[in-house]
Amino acid sequence: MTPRTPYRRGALRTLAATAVLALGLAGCEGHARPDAAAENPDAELKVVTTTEILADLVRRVGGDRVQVDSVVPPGGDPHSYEPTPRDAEKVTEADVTFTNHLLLEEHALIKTVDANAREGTPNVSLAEASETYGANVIPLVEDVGLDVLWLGLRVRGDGEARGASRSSDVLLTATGMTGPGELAAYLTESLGKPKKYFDSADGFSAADTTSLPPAAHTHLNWAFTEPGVYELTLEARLGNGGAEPRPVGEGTFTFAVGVDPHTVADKGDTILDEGHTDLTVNIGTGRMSAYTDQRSGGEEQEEIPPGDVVIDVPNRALDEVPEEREFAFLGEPGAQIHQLPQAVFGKHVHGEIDPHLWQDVQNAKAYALLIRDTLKKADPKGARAYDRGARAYERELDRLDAYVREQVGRIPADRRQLITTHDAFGYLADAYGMTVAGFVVPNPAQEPSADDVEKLTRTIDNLDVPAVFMEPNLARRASVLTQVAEDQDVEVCSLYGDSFDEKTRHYTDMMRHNADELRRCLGGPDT
Amino acid sequence: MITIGTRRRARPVAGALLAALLTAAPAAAQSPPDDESEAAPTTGTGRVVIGDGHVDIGPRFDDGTWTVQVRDDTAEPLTWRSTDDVVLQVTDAARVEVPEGEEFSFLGAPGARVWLLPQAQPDGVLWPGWNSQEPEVAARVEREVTWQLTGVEGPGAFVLFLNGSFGTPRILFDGRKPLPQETGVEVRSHVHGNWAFTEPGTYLLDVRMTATTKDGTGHEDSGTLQFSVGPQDPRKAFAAADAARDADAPGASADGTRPDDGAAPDGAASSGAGTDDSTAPLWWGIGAAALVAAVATALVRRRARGPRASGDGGER
Repeated sequence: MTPRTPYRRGALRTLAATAVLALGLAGCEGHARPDAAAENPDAELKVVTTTEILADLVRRVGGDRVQVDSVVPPGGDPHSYEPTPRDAEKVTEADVTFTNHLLLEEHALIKTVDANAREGTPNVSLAEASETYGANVIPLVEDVGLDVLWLGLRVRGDGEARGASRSSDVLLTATGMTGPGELAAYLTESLGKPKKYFDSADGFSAADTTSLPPAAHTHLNWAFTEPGVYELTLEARLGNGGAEPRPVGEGTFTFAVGVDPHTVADKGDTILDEGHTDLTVNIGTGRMSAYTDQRSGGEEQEEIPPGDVVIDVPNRALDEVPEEREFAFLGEPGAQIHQLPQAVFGKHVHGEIDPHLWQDVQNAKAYALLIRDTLKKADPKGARAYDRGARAYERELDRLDAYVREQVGRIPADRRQLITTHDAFGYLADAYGMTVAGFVVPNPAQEPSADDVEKLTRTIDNLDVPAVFMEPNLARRASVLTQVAEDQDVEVCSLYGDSFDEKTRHYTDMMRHNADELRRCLGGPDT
Repeated sequence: MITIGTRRRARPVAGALLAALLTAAPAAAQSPPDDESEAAPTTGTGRVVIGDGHVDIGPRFDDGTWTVQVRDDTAEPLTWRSTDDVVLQVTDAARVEVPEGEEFSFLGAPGARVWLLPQAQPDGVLWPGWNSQEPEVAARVEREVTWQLTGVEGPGAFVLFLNGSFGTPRILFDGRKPLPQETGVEVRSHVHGNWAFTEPGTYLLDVRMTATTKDGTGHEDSGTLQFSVGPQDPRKAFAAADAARDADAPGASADGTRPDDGAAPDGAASSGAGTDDSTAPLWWGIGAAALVAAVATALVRRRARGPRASGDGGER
């Protein structure tokens, strides 16, 4: 960092004040911008952040020693804010700059910061750098239809007592199904040809059988023509050599298709909604199970009895029957089906993370610690003050975290469904046990298609949610959500995502509002 | 599931009777993670040709060093091998016709015959995938492994693609397009794709795998995947790869040969496996794997490619 004379700093500040005035007269997007220089003229460090949320965190850690300015004005949208020449100038004046992550801020905004930050001054991208401070980072979902359970079939156990050998053959047959529509399990091969395993449309028969060798497993598409609850019974038989296959076991699995699985699950049941599960026969024990890594977070798989699981086929998994005649067994071309896919590779964007980390309060803590260390490096004399500021703020964030957890925890499990304007709440859902059931578009800068609107409508209808959530700063662009909500007769509530507004000026207030609003709007009759 | 996130034992079928029974069978068998506990603790030695059964490409901490290797599930116990020690053989059993329609035109004209190792478990052909499940990798890597294709040598086109639920192809690597190309492998995941080759012969695919561990350290290693496609003697791929390495290696003799060249191929021939199904497999699932115990040869070779290994291996 290059030392500068007080004289130079003063001169720049005058220039800055003039420019702000000029900009103020010309008007700008969002609300009136508070004058950072006036706020704290004797500060040791000038800090520029891209967004107001980051600015608030820096102020709480830095206290009086920092003067903090956000490039995106109050109420502005970081996904679309176009920086002005004055913004560039502000960045050149800064001793420290903080950005969040490329996918949050408009590219021009990041470029403005990177190109104008003075050489030698810390320019920290908080989202990724905070990982070493314990932030929980989730990869960016590219295809929400793939962000679902990966469901297969499997044979486990050695079955020696039953005379099984490597050359044995385990036959899995679908023998019964109940449900509001039809169920088809099939595999699409390399060159686009589907191969049916089970299909209820023409009734189950001996044809609805597949064969696996011992210790093998296989992945399939699982398609359902109507939303609702399905029960599928599978029977396993073991064939050794040319002899008639002998029964091994049987199990009935429950699928919650498009409906909240919590409305279907009994107490103590495991809801299978992510990771990898196989409907499994163990030819050693003769038991069927869901062999799943759900409860270990992907670490290892375990057998859970069929009656103790509910398989979630969410509305994210809505798909359209393609035109090719090979797929006619699924319904008319264009018909909507719910489908768990045979492969989930590609659900995430390679190398990219979801940028909205602060929706998990523990991540905001990691940001605060990284901010503390950055400020200490830039202003070593203030080290103790920054330590103090960060410690106090950490305690406040811990209380906030507990509060959000408690509020969300009071919402009945089957009503913790989030439907929002854009995909900004993955961390909130992940950290506090909500489900992202749907959003209008992934990024607020995108326009929704007719298909997006159709999917959103079905999601609200299938789940019977009491409310959807709009971000206050995106109110003008939320016409699709408000229209669909009106048509479906559900309440429109508000959640702060990427920005503050004139009412809410602090991160802690924003998260408290979000927790209160979730509970008020989803909380059910007892609240 | 994750990728992925995010698994396998291919139990290929050796006998004709079983093959017939299984025609309507398994798509994508993937190993339970606990399979790794059965893995041989050290990198396998000797050269092998694998033409049937399950293998994965993936990173492994080999005695603490990040290394691109081939996980050989046709061996018992399953064995991680150096990429240089493995020829992945694509036999004529993998030939398919390019279908009508635009969707698969990247493979050639409709009706053209290409070699395709499918995403779902095939009968009687090799089933290569890729994984990030080696226990130390699974425990230490942050989020994902980056997998790059940095070089392709071969008589035709190489394409690696995936299928959507309705078959729509999604191309991960296309050797005809500018290199390097890259994709991500989520940590603790195991994936299969379709490996397509348009002409018979030897293909050398240079790959690089990189990742950052939770301690913030970067890791990087490269290797060359050796494919033999079609009816040729698969050991030709070893010879071609050796020649390519010798051309790169500073101290290589002018004619690109070394005294030990040829030792392994002889060994492979004497093991009698190849693609010959009449050879009774030693255990179920060995398929056409040919194991060549040429330990001395391997040691010599390892020394010979010293500069390359030290340049690519280890921490970034």
